[in-house]
Parts: sequence; structure tokens; C-alpha cells
Amino acid sequence: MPDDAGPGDGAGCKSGGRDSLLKDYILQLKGITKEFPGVKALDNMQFFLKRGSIHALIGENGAGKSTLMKVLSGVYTPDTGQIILDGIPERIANPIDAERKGISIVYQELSVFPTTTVSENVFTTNPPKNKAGFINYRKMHKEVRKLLDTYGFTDIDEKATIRNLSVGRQQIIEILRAVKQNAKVLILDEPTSALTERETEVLMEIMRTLNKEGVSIIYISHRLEEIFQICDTVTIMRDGQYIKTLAVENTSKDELVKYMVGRDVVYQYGAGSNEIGEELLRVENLTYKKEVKNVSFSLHRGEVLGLAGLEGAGRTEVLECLFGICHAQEGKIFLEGEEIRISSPEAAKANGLAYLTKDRKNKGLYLRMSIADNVLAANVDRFTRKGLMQFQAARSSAMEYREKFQIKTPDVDKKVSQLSGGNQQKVLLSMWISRKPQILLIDEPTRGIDVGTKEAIHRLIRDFAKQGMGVIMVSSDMPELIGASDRIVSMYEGRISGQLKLEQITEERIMAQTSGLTIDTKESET
Amino acid sequence: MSDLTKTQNRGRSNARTVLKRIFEIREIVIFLLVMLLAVFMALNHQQFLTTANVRIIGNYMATDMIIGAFLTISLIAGNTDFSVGSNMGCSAFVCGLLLNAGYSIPVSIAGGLLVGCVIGALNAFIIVNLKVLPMIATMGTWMTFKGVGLMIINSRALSNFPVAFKNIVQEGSVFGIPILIVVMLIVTVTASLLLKYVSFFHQAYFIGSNKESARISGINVTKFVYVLYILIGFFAALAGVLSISRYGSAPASLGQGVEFRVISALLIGGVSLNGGEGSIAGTFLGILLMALIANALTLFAVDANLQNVLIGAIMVISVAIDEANRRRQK
Repeated sequence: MPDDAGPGDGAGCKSGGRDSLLKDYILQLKGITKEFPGVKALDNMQFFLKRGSIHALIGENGAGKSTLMKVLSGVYTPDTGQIILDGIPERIANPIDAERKGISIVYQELSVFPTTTVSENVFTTNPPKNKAGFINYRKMHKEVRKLLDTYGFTDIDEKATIRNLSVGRQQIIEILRAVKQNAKVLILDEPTSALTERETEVLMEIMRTLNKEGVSIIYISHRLEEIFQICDTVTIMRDGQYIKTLAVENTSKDELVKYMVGRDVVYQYGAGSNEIGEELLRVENLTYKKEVKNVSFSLHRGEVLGLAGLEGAGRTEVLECLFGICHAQEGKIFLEGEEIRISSPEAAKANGLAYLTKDRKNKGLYLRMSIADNVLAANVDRFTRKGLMQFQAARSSAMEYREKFQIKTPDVDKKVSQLSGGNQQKVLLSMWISRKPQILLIDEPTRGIDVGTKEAIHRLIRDFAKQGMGVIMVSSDMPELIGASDRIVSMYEGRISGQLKLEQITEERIMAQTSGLTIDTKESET
Repeated sequence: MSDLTKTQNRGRSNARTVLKRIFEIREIVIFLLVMLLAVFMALNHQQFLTTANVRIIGNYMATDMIIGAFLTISLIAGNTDFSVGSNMGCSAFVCGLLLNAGYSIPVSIAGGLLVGCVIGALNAFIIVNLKVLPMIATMGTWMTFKGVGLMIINSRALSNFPVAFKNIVQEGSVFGIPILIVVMLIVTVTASLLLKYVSFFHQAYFIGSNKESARISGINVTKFVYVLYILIGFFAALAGVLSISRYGSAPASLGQGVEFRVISALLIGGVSLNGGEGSIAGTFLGILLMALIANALTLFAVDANLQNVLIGAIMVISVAIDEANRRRQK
């Protein structure tokens, strides 16, 4: 077990017996710690990759998987720890350095260049050149053709423009780019989150081929199914720490879920403390493109409804359909039993809805403007008398909420960009709660916010619901979901995959439902 | 360090920050520049402060300001309009053709203004409904209506307008102030008040500062864009109609180059092409500065082309200062 082989120090390379043992590992990460202001993203983390292995790395959102991979690919420099590549301790300065040393990474977000050709994307940094130093397109296309044929993509034209390919195909081109670097270690960070089932199959086929050629692969995925299909080893991490490494054949999904959760500290954000009243909002069969499929649920007065799911499960889109930003193809929305149509954010506002985006800097706040102006912007209708702007009223409203929400700023004329993340979120809350809406839609209410302010924001949300209003909260933060939700609706790939009442909520159940494992948990429940 | 020197130091650094603050406000910088130039001219050229010369400067800047006022509001919301020059020409030609065809003065003026509004609405349609970027959309209409304008007048200047029409601007005045200058002042003050106090127009700052946030805040961006482009079109046409009344004829080159002159003045006055910033006062000062430079060169009989050199330089320098200020604040 790598567990036992792990804690040896790298200096021991010289002793003969140990040397042969360590050679078994193409990559060893030891004692990696990375701290960001206020968060320990990685805490004495270790990871051992066997030569020729397909090794899964799993953990909840925010467990530190991506940070670890960024350390490995040279995006971050670790505060402490050692990276041993093929038996030699290495310092990885930057992503180009990582590639040179044989570590390639395919990120979750696509990083292809949409307007250029397939060939140009495979050869981004090192295109073949002729003697004069000009790009040799003939040679480039020929090599890419060969590469595509090798992996069975005879139908992809090497001269096609990237943006005309499906997202899955684009992802494949990205993987081929990584392959082209002659990688010893290939890291795939949630490559399948945007892929269809077919494309996932194809991807797995590529992984197997590569693996046969001797490439060792680190595979990050939330879909536990896939790990059992393709990986031989799995490492679980939680809160930036190493938990366990297991052979896939000796484990089960339930065991993996158990290791992924199991937190010591339980946060309490007031779940279950409000009186739940009559139905306030009901959504029936909401369908939006491929993002939201047949979604139905209801929200009651006084309730904070948690919407759980993985990144890309369609939760944000549900909120945006409710707020009239996305236009649902099908489905009905009932407010207090009466059907309403929400065609635009203005209509949503008029019906007493408020929406706080997760992308508060780009889609919520006006960073370059003052706090008072921000509050005014969401309330232009309320602060207009006979067509004239009531600056004084807006200003005193901003001051009132500065007091109420304890926004730390000397005055409301300060630019929002100068506030901390937590205070910015409080400004966003002021903008919308000062409208006295009936329903608050809030996406990732405390992402990137320190623990102290987190509590304060949850107290505000709870107080808001207590007045007989309703809150729908999308969150990827497990303690937050559990600590703040009176009820949880889970989504998986656009569909509702389960509901949990207050007394049913456990981390294991949420994890199972949001990974599409509903059937398994039902079995284990009985 | 003794308490005394501490206080002195604080006093000095306070003075310095106050000075810095002043130089961070574009309007004040341009105002100082305008004053500097005016004082220099007053001391060095006896004709400068005469009523006649002030009137010349006023008339020179009037049409630019009439167009620039609502263009400023639109640009604050992030929507530029390059078609104003062609619009000004095209609308004026329609007005002139109607006059020459024997229609009454009010009908002819209304016809010209209507053309302006239609071109404005077309701009808004292309931007909102066809989702073309404002810069590209209005460059398209700029070129199109330049051509249309020249076609309808066969590239020949229009003249022989009724005397009553010419007299509107040539003779008209209020308390001795020429009508062109009066219109300019009314438009400037009105636009300034609208932008500051009327909710609908004040939304320009929100839209320009962050369009996505504005949309999610429930601000009707579509309506705003339509109204503003139609207003810009209306005032471009008004500038055109007033011009041909003033000249008594409509030269084929009417309105050409106006768009770049006005937008340069806006940039000098502190409007940002990225949106979210600017004021009517800044625009007024920018246009005034340009008029003063042109006037100074004429009075001293210096090569008029130097005007372009100076304006170009001032524009780049003032925007560069702004960017430097912004970087420092970050």
C-alpha cells in the first residue's frame, strides 16, 4: 500500500533497497502545504502515483484537489513539501516548466482557442517550423492528422475551426494537445463534466490507449461510477488533507463516500429554527435547454431551501429561469397558488423576487461605484418620485443597511471595489433585501468569504426567512448546506435527483444524491 | 520628531493630497486649461474678449454641443454613435429639399428632425435586436447615410432657402444672445439636469458601469438604448437644420467629420469609452477648449491644421492621465 511506503524522506534515495521501491512511483508528493490568506488549502498533503497507473483523486468541492494539481503543474508554489518526479526531487517553476518535465494537465474549464484550427490548438506553443523560421502548416496538419487517426478520430478535420466542434470534441483536442507534449504524467481535472455519455466513453478509450503506452494518469472526477470503470487506485482527500489511498477493486462507492465526508466541526446556521408556513412558490416541470430538465419543487414561507449539486448540475440555471434571465422552454411557476410568467428580471422584481448571483463582481455589483449608488441601482423604481431620483432617500437607505448588516466602512460613498469580499456580499444583500422581496434567490452566498462574515451572512438570510419570506439557496459548501437549509433538493445533470427533509439531511445522503447514486443509498438505507 | 513638525508634515501632505484630488477630477483639469488659454488670449490679443469674438466662439461650438450632450449620456452607458455627422447632413438635406419643394417652414423642419429620429431608431434596432456592437453598427450607418445624403442632393449644395427660414438663426436672438447659442445652452442645461436628477437618464451610469449587473438589477436596458439613440438622432438633425439656416445653404460636405470632433471632445472632457464615467460639464469644457484653440489659431493667423495636432495630443494625454490615476487607485 502506498500508505505504508509514503512517509519515507526523499533523501533516502541513495540506499539501495529503498531506491528500487521508490522507483515504482513515477510521482511522489510529500508534505505539501499551501496557505492562502485565511485558508489552508493544502495541509501536509501526500500523493503517490505508481508508474502506469490510472489514479483517481476524489474529495468534496473545496477539498483541495484542484489546488494540489495546480501545485503539480507549477501554477502555485507550495509553502512546504517535496515533489519527486521519477525519483528526482524537482522544483516546478511554472506551467511551461511542468510540461517540459513531462507533466501535462487538462483543466476542467476549456482552454482552447475558439477561432483557430484543430491543428493550431494541438501545436499552440511549439508549431513545426521550416528553415526560415516560418510555421510549416503542411507538416503541422500532417502530424495532427496522424494523431487524430491514431486515436480513432478519423471524422475530425484537422483544419476545422475549433468553435464549430462540440464541447466534447474540443475537450478531446485539449487532451490530444497534452498527449503531444510526450507527457509522463497526465492530469485530467474533471474532464467529463461537460461531456455526453458517448464522449465520455471515447475519452475513457483514449485514457486506456495512453495508459498502455506508459502514460500515468491522475484522474479527478465527481462521478464515482467512472472511477470504478477506469481507475485502479483512488486517493481521497478532505479539507486539504490526505485521508486514504485504496485499490479500486477492494472498495465500494459507499466506502468512498464515507471517507469523503465525516467532518468533525459541525456548523450551525439555524436550520430548522423557523416556523414553516404555507406554500409560497411552486415550480412545475421547468425545462431549459439541456441544462434544466423537468424540474419541480416548492418553497414555503419561512423556509430556507438548499439546492445541492455539483458544478454544472443546473442549479444556477434554475435560479436564472426563476428570475427571467434564462427563458425556460417549458414549465410553470406559481406564486401563492397563482400562475405567473416571468419574462425578464423586471417582471421577476415586480413579483417580489430578488437574485444574488455567485459572480457578484461581474454580475451583481457595480464595483466602480459607491455603496450608496449600488443600493440605488437595484432600487431605481423605489427611489423615483415623479421621474426624479431621490438621492437622499437612497443614501439613508444605504446608511440604514450599513448599520443593520454591519458593513465595515466609514461611509457609504466608498467604492465597493475597496471593500472585502464579505462586505461586498453584504452590500449585494442590502441592494436586494432593502427592496423587501418575498423570495430571495441566492447563489453561493458565502463563496470566498471568511468564516466570521459567513456566520453573519447566514444570520441575515435566516432573519429574512423568519419574517415569512422564502429563500432558495444554491451552495456547493457542504457544511453551509447542512447548517442553513430547512430542506434540501438535490440536482444531478439537470434533473432533481432527490429531496431531503430536515431530519433526513446527512452529508452522505447529499453526496450520494448529487453524484447520481440515489439507488445505491436507498439500498443502504433499508 | 516633535509634535510641531509632525503637524506641519501632516499639513503639507494634506495640501498635496488635496492637489492630487483636484487633478484626479477631469473637469477641473480641463477647466484650468480653458482658463489658462482664455487668460493668455485676453492678455495677448485685444480682439479676444470682444462681443463679436465671443459670439464667434459660441456659434462655433454650438452644433457640436447640441450633438454632444445626449451623446455623452449614451456614451456613459457604454454606447457610442459615429453616425451623428452623416445624420446631421442627411437630415439637413431632407429639410432643405422640402423647403425647395415649397413645403412650409415648420413642415420642412419637422421632416428633417423626423429623419434624424428614424436614423437613431435604426441604430438602436441594429444594436439591440441584431446585437451588433454600437461602434460597428454606427460606423455602418455613418457610411450608409453619408452616401444616402449625397445621393438625394446629387452631390450638389442646396441653396435658395426662404428668407424667413434663414432668419431663424441669422437674425433670431433672445436678450441679444444669438438663437444658436441659446439653443446650445438650453440643451446643455437640460441634458445635465436629466442626467443628474431624472432616474431614467441617471441609469446611464449603472448600465455603463456594469451592463450585466444592470440587467440583473431589472433595469430596462433595451428601452434606454432606443430612447437615447432616438434623442441623439433628433439632436443631430436639429444641429443640421440650424446649420443650414445659419449658412443659408447646405454644402454637400455638411456634417462630415463632426462625429470624430465631437467624440474627441467627449474623451477630453472625461467620458470613458468603456462607459460608467463622464459628465455634461466635462463635455461642455472639452468642446469649449476645442473652440478656443481654433479661435486662437485664427486670431494669430497660425496654420489651422495645427488645431488637429493640438487636439489629438490633448486627447491622448488626458486619457493617459486618467489611466494613470486609475492604476494608482488600485
